[in-house]
Amino acid sequence: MERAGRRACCVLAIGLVAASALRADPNDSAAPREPQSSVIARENVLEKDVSMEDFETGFHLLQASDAQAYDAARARWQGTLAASRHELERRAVSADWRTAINAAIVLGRIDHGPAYDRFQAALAAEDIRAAGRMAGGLHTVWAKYQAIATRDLQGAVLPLCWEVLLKHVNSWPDWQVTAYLRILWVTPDPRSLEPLMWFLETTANDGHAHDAARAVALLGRAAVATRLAESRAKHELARARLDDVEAELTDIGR
Amino acid sequence: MPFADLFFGCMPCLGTPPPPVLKLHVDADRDGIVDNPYGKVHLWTWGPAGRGAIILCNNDDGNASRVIAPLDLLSGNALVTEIPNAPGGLDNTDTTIDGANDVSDIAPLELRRHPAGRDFPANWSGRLSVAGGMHHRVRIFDTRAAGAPEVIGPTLGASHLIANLDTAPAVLYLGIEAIVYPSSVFDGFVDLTIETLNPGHGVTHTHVARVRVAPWMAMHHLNAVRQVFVLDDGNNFGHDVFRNDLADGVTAMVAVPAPTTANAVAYNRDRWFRDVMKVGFATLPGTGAPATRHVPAILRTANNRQSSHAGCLLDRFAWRELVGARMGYVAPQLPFITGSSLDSFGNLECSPPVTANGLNYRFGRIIYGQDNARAMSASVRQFLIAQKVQRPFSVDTSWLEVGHVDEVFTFCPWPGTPKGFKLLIASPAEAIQILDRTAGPPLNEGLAPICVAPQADPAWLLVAAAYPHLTVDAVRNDAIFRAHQGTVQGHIDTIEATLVAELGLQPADIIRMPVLYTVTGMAGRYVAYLPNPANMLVVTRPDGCANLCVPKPFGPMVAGQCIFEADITNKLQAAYEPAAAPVVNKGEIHFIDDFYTYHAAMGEIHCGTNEVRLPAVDRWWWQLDWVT
Repeated sequence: MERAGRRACCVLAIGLVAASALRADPNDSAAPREPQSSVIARENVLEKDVSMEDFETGFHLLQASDAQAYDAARARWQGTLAASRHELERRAVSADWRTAINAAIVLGRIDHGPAYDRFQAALAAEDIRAAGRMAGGLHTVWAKYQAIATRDLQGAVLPLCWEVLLKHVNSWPDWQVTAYLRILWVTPDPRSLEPLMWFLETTANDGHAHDAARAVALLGRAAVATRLAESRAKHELARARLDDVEAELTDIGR
Repeated sequence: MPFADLFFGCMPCLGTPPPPVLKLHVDADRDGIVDNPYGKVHLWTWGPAGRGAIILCNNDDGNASRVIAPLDLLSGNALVTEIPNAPGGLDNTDTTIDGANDVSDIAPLELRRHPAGRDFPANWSGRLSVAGGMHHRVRIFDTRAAGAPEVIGPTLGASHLIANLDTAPAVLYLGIEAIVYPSSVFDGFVDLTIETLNPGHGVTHTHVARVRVAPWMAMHHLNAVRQVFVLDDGNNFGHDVFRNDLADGVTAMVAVPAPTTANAVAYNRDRWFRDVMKVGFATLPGTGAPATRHVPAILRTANNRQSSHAGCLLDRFAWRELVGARMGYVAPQLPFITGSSLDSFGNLECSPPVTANGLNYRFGRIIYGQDNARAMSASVRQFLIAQKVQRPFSVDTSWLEVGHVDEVFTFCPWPGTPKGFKLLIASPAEAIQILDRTAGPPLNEGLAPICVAPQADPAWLLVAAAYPHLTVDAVRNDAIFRAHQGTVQGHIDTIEATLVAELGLQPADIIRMPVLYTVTGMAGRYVAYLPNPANMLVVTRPDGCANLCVPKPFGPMVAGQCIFEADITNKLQAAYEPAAAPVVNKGEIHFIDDFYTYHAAMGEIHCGTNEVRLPAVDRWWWQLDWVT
């Protein structure tokens, strides 16, 4: 399952176009089901009169989409998923990080949606042109929202940050994404590791990558060492294989 | 026989003189001329009597070949020296010596046969090499002349075979440059090895010479100013008046030419010149005039200001308009980042020369502000540390909204004193004392107004809410505001204690400037309430005095005079006179209105300007005896 989950990550990492295709295929689940999940979820669903099929469809669409498609999926399906809170909570501790994080995002939205919306609306309303003229630039804005997040939302802000990383990076202004990355600096939590690593490996924005790297580092060496070693090994293997391709190309061209 | 000579060769037949061997000759005595002696050149030592050759990071652009992309392409990342596959830009990114301008940046290196005059047998050869991947850090050219090609370096690798020594000149004149400065993974030392090869027997002789890359060093306020920079922001908020006043301050007593201006449209009105670059230098021994041995080099901020300052682009200015022959460029943080406010170089200062804790810092010490929550780029800090000779240290600026050291202190020349300078440091306690004295008898001027002139400007409507304390009593009677001054003074006392300890300062070396601070934003940090006179531009003159371009503090007005200005003028009068009454052989104080142009945007004159200085010519970095 772990491998399957990672494969799903890679599929998403390849590109949004591919991800769009993935969304359209209900059989290609980015969130593999676990053996007992259907039973537990069905019990819960029955109580709320929501079919398991609806739950799976909604959860899958939320997990596999981003940008405007995600917003639309959330508007359509969040209520359905909210009716099966127990299933969401069960998935929120899944060993598959993508399942866990997406479930946590939905739970965060259910529990703190209005606060998230207010927070984001306030951030989006900042006059960044004016802030950019100040000596401290946008750093002043980012520091402000670090302070607001830790004061008003505390740990509850994490699902919102994860949502930004997974769903809004390509549709929101870069400076807003930066704000959420920097909130992760002041709210270190081991659960952020996997979304950050995924983000690090996929973003093309150098500034975002540096901020994500700092967020990972702030989790502490003990929390990240194994994961970093895994990732490094994976990329070294990939590089070796690319070198192999290059050697073959040279040989063929000779 | 010198230790470096390792003789493995075949034994010559009796009566037949042995074949010669190749030796490396370098400028180990650092006089700009290749030495005849070749013994112990594998050693490199610091100090006045130190020995060992030096090479220069050749990161200027002698033939103006760097690519200047249109600003809207924002391709700055591809333009920087350290990217190996970006050839043809700076002089250290290509495989040739870039014209006559470039030759003086190349250190000489000679291969001579010993004994001289003896011929090599046929087919003997030499192999010049560098080990440990150093061919990515240095480049050796086959002559020391314009157009000379690389023989060792990133393109051609770590070794170079010199074939047919029997027909080769008796002396091979090579050139060597560094591609990078010392860094956290490179101590600056490179060992060059020449092997003499007998085709029948392999290596007959090996000789090693060690060279070291000259460090990048920051300039300080005892170095005379050569050029000042400021953005030309038209007449926005009276910027034209500001520039005129600044020009008066810069050019007074024929100090330096009027400031060079950057185009506001091109750089999207980014006015924070200080924050985008720090001009330093590196020095190579030479035979020309001492000043020509220094090559200025710009340290670029880690920040991509398009991201960090919403489209501002002045971080591109140095690459586009300053880099050239004898003006290098280095960017330790690659790729550029959104960074933090502390990555701006208002947060990077260099003290004048000091002796502290038994060490003579003849080039001063680098000082930067530290905040664990928004630290300066680790790459930049590690770069500064790796240069060694200005041994950086940090002070706590976490309590400042912008977080820069120039918000707290500066150094101004003070000829005739043992150290030759004074530390000018902001002091809210001093400001409060002055206000209390003003309100008390016999003056009884508690109603004296503050910020008088700024209030007369229509722009006041935009900023008035940030200035609720407009009389002496308004400040004195606001217990919270006064408490903030105490808090800030505590932070500044900590900084002062660090400066005293690290720079070996005495009480007489310190002058306290009246500055009030106000709390800002959600983070509960502080920024100067009134314009901060400590955040000044110090235009050091060739005569050792300076013109101080001081933010006009707009303090309380009593009898037509600003009492903060009067206090500052009084404290500086031993070395400085007001601009209106210039005195030969004394500095000048120019109080300049930067209220709307800079202060209201949380900066001051120092933040909005930058300068190139002239390093001292009576000292050389390799003479330092405490560096290891």
